[in-house]
Amino acid sequence: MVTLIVNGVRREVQAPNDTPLLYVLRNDLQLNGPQFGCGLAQCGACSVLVEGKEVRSCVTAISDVVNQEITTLEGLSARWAKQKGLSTEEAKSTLHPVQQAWIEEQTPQCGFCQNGMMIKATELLESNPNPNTAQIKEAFTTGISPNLCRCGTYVAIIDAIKHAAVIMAKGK
Amino acid sequence: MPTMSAKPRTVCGATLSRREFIKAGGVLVVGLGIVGPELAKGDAQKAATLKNSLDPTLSSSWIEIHPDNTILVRTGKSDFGQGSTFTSYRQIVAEELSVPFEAITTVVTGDTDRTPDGSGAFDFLGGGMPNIRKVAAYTHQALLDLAAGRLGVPKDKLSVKDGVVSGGGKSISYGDLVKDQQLNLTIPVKGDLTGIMGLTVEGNPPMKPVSEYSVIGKSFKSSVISSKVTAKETWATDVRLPGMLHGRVVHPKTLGSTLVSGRSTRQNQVPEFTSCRERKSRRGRCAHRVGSDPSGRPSSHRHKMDRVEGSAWQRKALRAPSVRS
Repeated sequence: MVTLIVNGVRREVQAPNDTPLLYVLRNDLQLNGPQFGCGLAQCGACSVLVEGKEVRSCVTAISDVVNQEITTLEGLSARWAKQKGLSTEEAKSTLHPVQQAWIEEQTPQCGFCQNGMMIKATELLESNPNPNTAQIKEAFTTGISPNLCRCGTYVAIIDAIKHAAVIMAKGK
Repeated sequence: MPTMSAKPRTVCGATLSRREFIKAGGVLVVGLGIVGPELAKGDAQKAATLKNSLDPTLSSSWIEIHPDNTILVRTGKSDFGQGSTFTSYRQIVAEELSVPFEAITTVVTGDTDRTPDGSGAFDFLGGGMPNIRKVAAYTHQALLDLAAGRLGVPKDKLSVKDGVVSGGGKSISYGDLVKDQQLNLTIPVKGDLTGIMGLTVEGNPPMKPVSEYSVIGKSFKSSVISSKVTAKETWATDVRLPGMLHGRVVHPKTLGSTLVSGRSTRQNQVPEFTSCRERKSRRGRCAHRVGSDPSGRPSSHRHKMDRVEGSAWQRKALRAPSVRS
């Protein structure tokens, strides 16, 4: 039995300690936002936020994230609502600025990798609210491995992050 | 009241027929008729049989016009983010029918049991686009034909804007034209549904002049992006079937690792365990692709409902070997 805090909710999971977080999120908690891409931490499709940091859940054992705050794509809106102190009603109808920007910029093509792209963008914008192109590129290409998109939406991602920064600056 | 006779008639090479009056609803279904060797040989009897074998109440149809002025489009092509079926095809159909883009509320795609044309995403532009355009053009002509009868105005005096046919000071919407009727438009096609190129729509129905385009050339937002961005999309990888087993490839932690055992004690700890296969790498120095933990950790519990990861072992539930670094 392992206790995880996922999207603000404590979840008891019956799984061995070494189970990859991704498997528990998808199979046990029915959170299908994180995708199984490469399974080797090489693509970023499985990314989640752990204590605000982007983590590749396909290689993260659940025992390593016990009692830490895990945010998946499903929890991005609530994360933003909490940061902004929105009411429950407002929160229901509010998307995270990253999600809003992703829709407005029509960023995804097939969309399989975009979970990780949005998670990475959220991590970046929480530490740097107004990143320039070079900073965005650096964030997405350093670390454990670059976030990969085989449709090639990189330019749209950069546009969307800048757009999200504008939405975030407005505060809603 | 519908004025159309029960007898099928030909409209620009397609056959328009009314199956029956129905009390509520109504629909114009665009189905397909096979142009086969029988027709080429002039064997009208066999050709008629082939045409009639396609029941429009089955879903082997391309376009449905509904009495509430909404439109459904079916295509066997699968959209993987190209925007073709959910955006471009809707634009093409909306353009030929002279309806707003938003009138096409449903696009049924991919499932060959529920779509007419077959083939693949590689054929979006080359085959799929002219197909759907011709189908829409045939449908447009059939609707004009219906409107001419209903309004008592010659077809060439009619014009269509936003799904409303007007002429001679009178007008009627597409929805009202099909209301309380079940109309079937059979169009000529050739090819093999299950072949690589699928079916091709035949004939040359009059098409809308490009100079009159008002929908194509404009930018429309993809209707499927929102669900992808908010984790509401159902992906193929999200499908869980009863009895589905879980498979994993287990990689060693480091290069040069040696497989000790592919059948660890885990096997005894996991009641659902079914099998494990071992395969060494080319150099025989590390064992991997056995079950699938990228970190090389022993694999986990899994339930029978779990999804299968990896393609090589889809029928096997694989368990971790112990790995010696």
